Amino acid sequence: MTSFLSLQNISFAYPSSEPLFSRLNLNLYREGKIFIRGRNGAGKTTLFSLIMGLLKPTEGSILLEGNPIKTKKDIRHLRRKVGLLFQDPDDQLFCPTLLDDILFGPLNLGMEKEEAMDSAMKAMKVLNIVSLASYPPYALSGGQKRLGALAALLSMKPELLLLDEPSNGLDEEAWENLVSVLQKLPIALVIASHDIPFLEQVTHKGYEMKKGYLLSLN
Amino acid sequence: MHSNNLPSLTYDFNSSESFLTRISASAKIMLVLAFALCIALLSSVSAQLFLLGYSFMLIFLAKIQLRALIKRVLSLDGFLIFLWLTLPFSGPHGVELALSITIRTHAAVFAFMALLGTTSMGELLYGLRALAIPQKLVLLLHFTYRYARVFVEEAEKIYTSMTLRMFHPSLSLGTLRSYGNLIGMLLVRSILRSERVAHAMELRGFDGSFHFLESPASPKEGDNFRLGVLYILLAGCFIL
Repeated sequence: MTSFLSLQNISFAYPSSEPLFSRLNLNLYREGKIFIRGRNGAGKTTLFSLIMGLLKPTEGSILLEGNPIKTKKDIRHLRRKVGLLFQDPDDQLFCPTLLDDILFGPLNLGMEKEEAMDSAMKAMKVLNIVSLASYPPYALSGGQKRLGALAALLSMKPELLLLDEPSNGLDEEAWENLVSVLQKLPIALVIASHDIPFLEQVTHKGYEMKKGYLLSLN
Repeated sequence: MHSNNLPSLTYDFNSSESFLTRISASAKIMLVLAFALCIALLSSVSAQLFLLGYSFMLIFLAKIQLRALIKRVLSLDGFLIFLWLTLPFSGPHGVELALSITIRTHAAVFAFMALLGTTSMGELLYGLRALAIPQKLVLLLHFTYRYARVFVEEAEKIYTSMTLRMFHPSLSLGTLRSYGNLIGMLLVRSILRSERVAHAMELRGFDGSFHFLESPASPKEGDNFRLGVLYILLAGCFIL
């Protein structure tokens, strides 16, 4: 199977720091739910930032559907197809109401208002948060914010979602709700987390990030 | 919904529909600006009393809940008491000045409550854009509103961790240093958060223009006439 997103010989180091990755390789496909786990500071969030073009690798290349990501236009194209859920949903929800937030991406993609609204409603229905549409994000609970941020990504109809510590700070009910939502999502997921029970329920295979390398775990 | 002890940052004072909730946000912004200009410029007590009456009428038209009104007035009067304790003894026109300030502040607060307190943040931002206010300023207002609560929460978290480690504020260099650390840490966290928010916007295709949802006004028959009367009354007061 041809990989959807491919990281080839990626090296990266923060300024005045030891290299975090050295010639790292990873292939991601359009199907399946996989995890990346590793200790704090191992580089999971950095890896996602590199994929999304928020950081630039010092060496190596990232390929989307076989084409290297080089220009700003390529990065914009990648961001249409890949979504990133941040660790803290407060960073991701910044509009006056949750509905505005969910519409933010589709409108920026150039969708017409009706189409954007349709996409937003579909995303909210999948996550069962239609009733929260008119609430300001600050008035939502941690679990609701997380689902709101996820809806904001789903409304852009991505083909792959990168989730950075999605179960952090959730109570039991919100945790179970998120597990059930992610199990049903018909989209490829890469989840970075240390929450082993969560990963066991949502993903089927994954990698351990250790000393800048990804070790396959099945 | 999420509940905590922080003060509410929402400012919807009424739950029922009124003429002022139906008219466009930009018309309300223009009216409140005109009112603010009048109350700041008119120096005669009779004109100020007229404007106070005008602001009362706005409160009545907006169907503001009495409890919300009293709460705001009491917190305002808490500040004005200090004014009345000092200003009357400061010179021959002290009492006159204190009275003028009291009337002006009450009139301004009532008008802002009635006109802007009945407007949601989304409508307000849309109204500002409709008045051709630069997008950067509108976004600045929006982000200040959105992250004010997060900022307060961050400050509370740091302060709680200080008190849990036996911090007692006193008149000492140590206290000053601790408050300095708190402010510094808040600044650092704010910068880091602003970077993350900017990234989140960038990842969802932000290209410099913010597509706020349109909040079209839904005036009923006669609402525009009522709005016109409000403008004429204000203009009449200013001219006379």
